[in-house]
Amino acid sequence: MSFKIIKKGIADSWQDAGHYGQQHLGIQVGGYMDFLSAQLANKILGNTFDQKVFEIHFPASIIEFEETIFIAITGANFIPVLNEKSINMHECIKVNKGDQLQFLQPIHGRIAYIAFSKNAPKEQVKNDLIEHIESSLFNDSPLRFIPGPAWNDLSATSIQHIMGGQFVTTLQSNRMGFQLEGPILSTIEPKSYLSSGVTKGTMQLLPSGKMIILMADHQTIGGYPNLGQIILVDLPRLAQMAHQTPIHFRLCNLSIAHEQFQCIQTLFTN
Amino acid sequence: MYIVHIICRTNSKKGSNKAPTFDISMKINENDKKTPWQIHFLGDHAILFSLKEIIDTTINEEVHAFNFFIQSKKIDAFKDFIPAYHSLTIVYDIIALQNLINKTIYEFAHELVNEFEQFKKEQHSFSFKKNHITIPVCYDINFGIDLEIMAKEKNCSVNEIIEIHTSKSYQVFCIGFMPGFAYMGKVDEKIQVPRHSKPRPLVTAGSVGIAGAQTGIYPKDAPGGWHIIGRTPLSIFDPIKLALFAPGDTVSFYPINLNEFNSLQKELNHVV
Repeated sequence: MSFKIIKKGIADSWQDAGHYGQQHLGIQVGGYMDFLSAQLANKILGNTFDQKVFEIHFPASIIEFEETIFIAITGANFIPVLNEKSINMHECIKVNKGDQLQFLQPIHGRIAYIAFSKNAPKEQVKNDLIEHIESSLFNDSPLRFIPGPAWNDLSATSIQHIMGGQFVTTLQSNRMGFQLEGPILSTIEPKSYLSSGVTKGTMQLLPSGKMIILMADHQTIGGYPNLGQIILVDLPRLAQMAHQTPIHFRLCNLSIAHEQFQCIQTLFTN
Repeated sequence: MYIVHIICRTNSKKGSNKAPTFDISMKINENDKKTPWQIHFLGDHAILFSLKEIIDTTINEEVHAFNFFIQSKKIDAFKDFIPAYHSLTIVYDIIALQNLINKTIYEFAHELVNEFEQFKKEQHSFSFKKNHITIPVCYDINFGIDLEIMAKEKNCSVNEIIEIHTSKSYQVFCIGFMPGFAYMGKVDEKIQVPRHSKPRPLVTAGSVGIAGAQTGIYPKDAPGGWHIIGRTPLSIFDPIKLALFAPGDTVSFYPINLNEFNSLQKELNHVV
């Protein structure tokens, strides 16, 4: 994967599925924010899912390739351009030494992924998979969540706000978490919580009454009330929401969440 | 009542190969403070097992025993175990766990708790391994920048604070806040102080602090609100050797003077 960066973008990073097994030492898991797009980029090139992908935000880096390789771009559409010529996303693209890749402007989404391979893929990815992922990433259906340990401590009004109100993403959003703007939430009575394990998608209630949803680089334990967690298959959609995107929530249960996750992973392995 | 045997390994110096082992027994009174394990799902990929929500060494000991018991079952579908004060969070691989069990995850989680309770009853005592670590701390007032304020607040001398802090063994309740930061307790009530209302923008790596019933060491330079009483020359966390502490370990502190601090720091820098 040899390329050089001609002009540095904001918040580029190499990512994989994250590293589990050290959270008891306070070491975060990390990994890509949008597993659907990252897996898809690797799938298009026939890579295994543990291959690292380049995660980019807008404004993105301008890249110059130093050898002939194959790339695939997925996730947010920032209008990719190779040597001044627009190229397709979700496709294997051969690039040559000296080719320059840049991104013109954000059309939709927040994070794009580039996967790399030295060899051309043996088979093409089915359009069904691409369409399925595109449609599950970019739509305005509610984010599904499973209530957490502090859910029952919420006031009835706060529960109504979460179930029926509208929240929006703010500029306080990064790889650690997305802070939302919306109706102010509160517990029935002031209560302090002992820190305990949190995970991807944990919806924490901040002392200000605002909600923050934990993302890939979250801390391992947290002491804010844990209202619930967004189910895994809906997290990439949140990760792809640009500033000021409206959000609604919907209750979900464990078996539906698991079914959905299994369904999408089956699509990937077929 | 059941007894937990804890095999301790002491390593007073970082990198020390000589590790004497000894057994201590700890009695856990089941009637005292104990409530049954509660099971919560953290979304679709983690399970939270929790006990009564208080900072308590007995409850925390139970958490580590449960953690040890579950880890000994070597369930591949479990990816991470995060013990905290009164809880254990297990992160699982959805597909691997579904392939493993032919019941609901709730039933499976319940079974784990029941097996643990049964195991304790049958064994009456069981052993799990943890380390005892002794930490040299220089309580010079140039390092222990809050010692004098604390002495005033607590109406005692700086020496008394040092004596009390070094007089007992602390349990590593859990690790978090930043990589390698161990929450230890419980601190003697006589020297308990709350967090500063305004955190310092920078606390130097190695600083030893107190916040309420907890004591801890900053693994690296970071903003922080704990009252700082001294500094250790040991490196608490590095990316390769990882953390000096693991949850469940016990820790005690011993005082060193400024000269000893400097020579120990020099020595350690050479080793690294």
